[in-house]
Amino acid sequence: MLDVAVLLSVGRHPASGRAVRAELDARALELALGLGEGARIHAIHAGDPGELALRDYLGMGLAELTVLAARDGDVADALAAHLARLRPAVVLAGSRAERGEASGMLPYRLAHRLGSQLIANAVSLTPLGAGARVIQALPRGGRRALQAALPLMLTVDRAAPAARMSAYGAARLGRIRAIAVESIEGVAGTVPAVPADWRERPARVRPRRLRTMVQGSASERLRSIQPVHASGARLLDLDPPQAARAIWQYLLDEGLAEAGPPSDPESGSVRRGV
Amino acid sequence: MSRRSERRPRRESGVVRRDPRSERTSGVPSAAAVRSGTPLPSPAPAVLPQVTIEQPQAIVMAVPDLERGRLTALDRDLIGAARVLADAQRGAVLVVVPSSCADDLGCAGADRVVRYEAPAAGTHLAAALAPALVELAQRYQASHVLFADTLTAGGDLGRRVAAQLDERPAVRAIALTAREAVCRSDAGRREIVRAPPRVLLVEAGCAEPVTGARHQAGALPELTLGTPAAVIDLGAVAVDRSAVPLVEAELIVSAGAGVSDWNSFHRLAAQLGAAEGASRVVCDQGCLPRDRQIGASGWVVEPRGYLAFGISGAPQHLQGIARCDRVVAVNCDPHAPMMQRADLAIVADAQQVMPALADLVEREKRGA
Repeated sequence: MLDVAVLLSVGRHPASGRAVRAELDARALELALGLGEGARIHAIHAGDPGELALRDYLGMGLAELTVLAARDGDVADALAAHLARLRPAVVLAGSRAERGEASGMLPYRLAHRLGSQLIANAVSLTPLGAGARVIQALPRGGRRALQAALPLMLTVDRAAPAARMSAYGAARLGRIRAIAVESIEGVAGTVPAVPADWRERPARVRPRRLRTMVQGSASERLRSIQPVHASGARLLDLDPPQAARAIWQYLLDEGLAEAGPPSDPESGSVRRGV
Repeated sequence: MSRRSERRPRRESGVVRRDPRSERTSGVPSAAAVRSGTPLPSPAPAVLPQVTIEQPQAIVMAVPDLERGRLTALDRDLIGAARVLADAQRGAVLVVVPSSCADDLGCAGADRVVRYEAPAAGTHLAAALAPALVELAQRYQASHVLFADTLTAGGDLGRRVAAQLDERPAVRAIALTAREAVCRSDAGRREIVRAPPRVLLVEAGCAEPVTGARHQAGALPELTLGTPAAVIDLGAVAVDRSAVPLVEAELIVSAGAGVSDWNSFHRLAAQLGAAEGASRVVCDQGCLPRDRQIGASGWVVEPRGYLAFGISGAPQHLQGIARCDRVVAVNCDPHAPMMQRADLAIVADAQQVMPALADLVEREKRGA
């Protein structure tokens, strides 16, 4: 029986700004629920136990959700103490929050303090003996398999499967259990979340930078911003077999295709390092 | 003769005669040269002034992501941001790259370069590199360490280093000066303005890349990576290339109004392992779903390669592929805008080229 903890936060609806479940945390919870009967899920939130948006998570099929009752502050200490006592095998979290500074540092700080291994951008998790097999999403739709020892911390982003809908009945039946922060040993109090020497302001729309030359004569600078052929642009008049051969050669030259049968991806060797 | 009539082109039989000498000296190629396929002359490279920093007062580390061993535009912005911080302290920029990187780091702005060997097969690179970078930052007493804020490369590495250094990093930095770093927060709704901390994660456009000078790029002792055994990298996993979202696809095969042989089109996309895209006309006809449309009201894509079959190239479609490097176009009409946009433009019937190319790719992949 695998103990899986999921760290949940309150998100913001992109259009209305209302408090709803956070999309990435919901995907993390979906990953945990997908493990089925072999996993015992501990859903944890640090904040206000009366928050209505937490019911959205319960509606996904959770029986209970633990809330570390904390005012606005740095919740890493409280979460680290609680997780150190709980000692789950796997901790899942969204890669960043939707409110506040949203730096995505919390999973990394917790992993460092708890001594867990961390894998970012996980899309699937399979327990395997004393460890787990994790599939990580890479840029451009790639995937990489990793074998990790427990305890493990995974962050989840948009490449993971979408979260299931929230059901009203389950949301009402689920229990929220509040734990006061002061009662967890080793926590001195709350640290202000935003240091005093930071200034916050609404985001400004930034103009896109035009990539122009700053040196050279006026005619060179003018030519650099006109849409011209890339050097080596070619216009050819060919019949179909020659055209096919020319396109294939171009794809090979530019590294967009490889000749020969594809190598076996299960062989375990590292292909094309990141 | 007056000077005014010397400058005006002389009219003979009503046809304005262009001075061929003026075209040659201004570098505009003639139409015949373009049509024959000869490569256009590129301007002579300017000689850059050399910048050498002997005794740096501070060291600013920059760890670029690299894509396939080359510096990306974001990496150049990153080194430019490191340059901004280093110049304010009369320091030097130290760039950490794998030893397989062959790019000219001096032109990108690196004063010192530390290389590391690719770790043994099966090593999770982020887990091995982070402690080595922490040790390097302590050794050279780096005042700042900069990474690119991407999901699995620089962002992962930078956050590990920040956690191990117990620093609160500046994340999603969109503007950087010596005194201030502006970071996006609250899902892009707000900005935080703060003094630049020790660890920064930088987004594209944060600073200008270094262009005007050539730096020293002096080699420093290599970095040795440990081999943490807790996480083992098992290598890439085969993916269904057609299921990758269009905005992330590496290679896109796109169909326009000139395509009617859909079996060949789908077969070609499957053989090449490419995602399928379409122009607006094709989606309006219902031949491909609407979520395959590329253009101003569809997806704006950034693949590494784009094959356009039978697309004339309406401006809205060209907006969708504005950032694409390598474009191949097959069309019967040599004057179509897509043919002018393409790097390799072939005047042929797309209906016949697609099955020929699909057969060729199948033969090549089989190894015949």
